[in-house]
Order: sequence, then C-alpha cells, then structure tokens
Amino acid sequence: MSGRVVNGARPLMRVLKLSNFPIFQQLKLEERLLRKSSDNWCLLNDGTSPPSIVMGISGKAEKLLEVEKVVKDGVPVIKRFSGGGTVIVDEGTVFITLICSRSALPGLELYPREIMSWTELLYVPVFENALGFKLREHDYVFNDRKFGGNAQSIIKDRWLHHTSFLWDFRDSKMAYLKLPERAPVYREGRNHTDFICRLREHFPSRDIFIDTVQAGLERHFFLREESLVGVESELGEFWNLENWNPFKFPLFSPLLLMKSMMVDLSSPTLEMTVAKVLVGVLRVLMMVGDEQFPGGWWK
Amino acid sequence: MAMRQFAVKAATALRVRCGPASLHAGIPLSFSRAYSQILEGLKYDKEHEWVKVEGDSAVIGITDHAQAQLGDIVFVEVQGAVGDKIAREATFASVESVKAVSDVFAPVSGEILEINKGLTDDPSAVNNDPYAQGWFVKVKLTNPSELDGLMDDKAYKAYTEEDH
Repeated sequence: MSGRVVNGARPLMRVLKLSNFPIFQQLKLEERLLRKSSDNWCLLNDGTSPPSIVMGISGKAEKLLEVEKVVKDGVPVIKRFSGGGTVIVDEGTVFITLICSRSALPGLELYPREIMSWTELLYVPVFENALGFKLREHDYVFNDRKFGGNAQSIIKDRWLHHTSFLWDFRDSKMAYLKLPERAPVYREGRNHTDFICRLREHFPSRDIFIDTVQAGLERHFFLREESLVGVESELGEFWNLENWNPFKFPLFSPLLLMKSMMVDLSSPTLEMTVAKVLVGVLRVLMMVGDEQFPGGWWK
Repeated sequence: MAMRQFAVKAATALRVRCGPASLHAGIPLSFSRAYSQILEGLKYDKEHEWVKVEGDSAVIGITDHAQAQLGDIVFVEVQGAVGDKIAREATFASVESVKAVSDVFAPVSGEILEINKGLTDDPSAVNNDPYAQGWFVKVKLTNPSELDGLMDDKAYKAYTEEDH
C-alpha cells in the first residue's frame, strides 16, 4: 500500500535536510520527533561529524568493538534508542530517517517486518537503475553486498525507520568493528570489506541520490521542507547552542534553559552536561551584555 | 537441544503449536484463526499484553500473537525497578526484534513487585513460552477496576481475528 491519494491528498511529510550534523544530536532529535510530535517526518543528513560508532540498544561494546583501538583513537561510541547492529559513521554516510504515524499509512501494521517490507517498496524506484537491489534479511543490498544498515523504533501508533547509507567509507575504519555474533545468514562469515559496498558506485552524486529519495517519498507523501531553527522552536529545545537565542522566548528563556539542562541530565556523561550548562550560562550573559551594552559591556 | 530449538522456531514461524494438546500450565487453550495461542483465564489488552490476576497482584507479559508478529526477540528491558509504579497504557518495557525496538504498554497500573531477570539472559523465552517463562513483571494492582476494561480469552480471540 502507499500513503494513498485520499480525496486527492497525500499525507503531509515534513522534511528536514541537514548536512554534517552530529549523529548524537541527530538521534536525540529523532527520538524527540518520534515521541513528541504527531506529524510525519523525513530527516536527511548528508554526512556527519565527528566520525562515531553507533550501536543498537542492546549492543555491548566489548563484544562488538575492538575496544583498545577505539579508545586509543578516541572514537566516540553512542548507543541509540533503536535496534539493530553497529555502524561506524562519518562524512561518507548519508542518513535517511522516516517517522510516521499509523494514520499516514492505513493498513500498515506496526510490526518490524511489515514496516521493513513497506520501506523496501519505497526504495525500489529509488534504486531502479542499480542492479540487484533488495531487502535481504533486513539489510538493503545490491545482490549480496550491503550498502545500508537500518533500524527501527515502534511506539504506540508511531514508528521510526532510520538508515545509514554507505555513500563512501574507508576500509581502515572498519577495523574498529568486530565480526558480530549475530549476523545475517547471507553474510557467510565475510569480513566487513567483503560484505559491504559503496553507494557512490551506483549514483553520480550524493545530491542526485538525495533528490531521488525525495522523489520516491513524493509518491506516498506531500513533502514540505522545514528548517532546523523552526523545528527547534517548535520542540522548545535547542539542538545547536550556536542558534540559541533566549530573546526568542524572552519570558520563558530561563525555564527553557533549565528544561534543556534537565534533558541533558540524561546525557552520557556528567562532564558533557556540566559543559553544556556552563556554555549556556555564558551565552546568556553574552547576549544580555550585547543587548544592554551595544559594542561591549565595558563601554 | 539444538534440534528442539529449531523445531520451536519452525513451529513459531509456521504458527503451529506442537506442544501437549489443550493444556498449558494447567490452563485450557484456545486458538485464534491466526493460530496464535490464547489461554483461558487470563485477561488481555488491545496492545497484546496478557494479565494473570493473583489476588491483589498480577503477572504481565505479551501474548503469543504479539511475539509471533515481533519475530525473534533478542533483548528485553523493563524500564524501572522493584518498587516503581507503572501506569496503565504507559510504556513499561521495550523489546528488540528484527532490528526494531518496540514499546510494551502496561495493561494495568501497579507497583512492580518482581521483574523476570531470566529474560536478560534468555529473551527468547518470550517467543518460546510467552505465557509462562516469558513473563515480564509482577505488580501489585493499584487500580483493580482497570481489569474490567480488559478482554477475556474469547473477546481477545475475536480481536486478533480482526487482523489487529
């Protein structure tokens, strides 16, 4: 089924296009949109920085990673809220995330295999010029080579499906990952380099790939582009302290700062939380200073 | 052991039951048209959880229909600890299967008395034995009247046959 044209209208999907957005921030944003919004969303993030390792919810670092090498090289390790395996992501990764309400696709049962099958239908026209595309044991492959890892999170009446597409990758980075204990049968024990392939071999450019994905989505949804600043305002939280302006909500900024601090108490490290609080306080002082003393508070 | 596990997985995939006929843990069985196992004497929620009332407490898990739809479960996490309160319809646990994390919703409100720690080491118990070894939590009921809003086995059987 598609997100059918009902009375001439496809369901609305709001599209947020990002570039080199940090994957940790992206995952936090995705979870907020899944749980706090009632709209359908597509996040497209072209590359990420810094390079990071992302494990699924049940991932154990000691089983999945070459821990000594990861620590030695200082690679951030993140555990996401969805299932699935471990990926190393960087500027060569293109992320596409779909967040939908049950009502967007009536008749689609909100179970993992049903949702995964629907995404295969979505992506068939996207990859129609690439030979051998299919969903194989829950991976996107060209024949027997995986080019996209995906995972899902399903809550009441909403679901999220996110994919990290391997536009390009460095073989050396795969050395951070161990061969997982749970692997698809079709992998047949192959190492990472023999198991995965580059999407850039099938598309002329990243922009064309992203445009093709959007065209595929337009078969099912009416797309509307959004801005990160707009989404921030809507969620009432701040994903990029560079854009934070307390005078957007002059009466409530202190409360919102406190709220964002409380959210950050779930951050992986206390040090990160303390650092964010200090930066936030300093920025308030700077902005108040700029307003009260244009040209500098010392004048 | 491996052969038995294979047989259980195949039976689950084919949605047939190869166990002893008609009784499970002393409780009569019935079958939905989708061949999911439904136990008489339990209460059921629309989100496919079951409740076994034991005096002023209740044991909670997910149904055979739910585990079959989810696929092989590889991870179970109960959110909270003994003593915490859970509220009806709120998420109290998560399960991972087929690369997806799915929320599990509380069919009744209560205070957690016990958590099935066995699911940490063997989450497949939810697939293999959803009504016994695959239980999630035991709670002290804080609003027993909520039980009146749940389905009995016959109503749940009809509900699952409506392709929910």
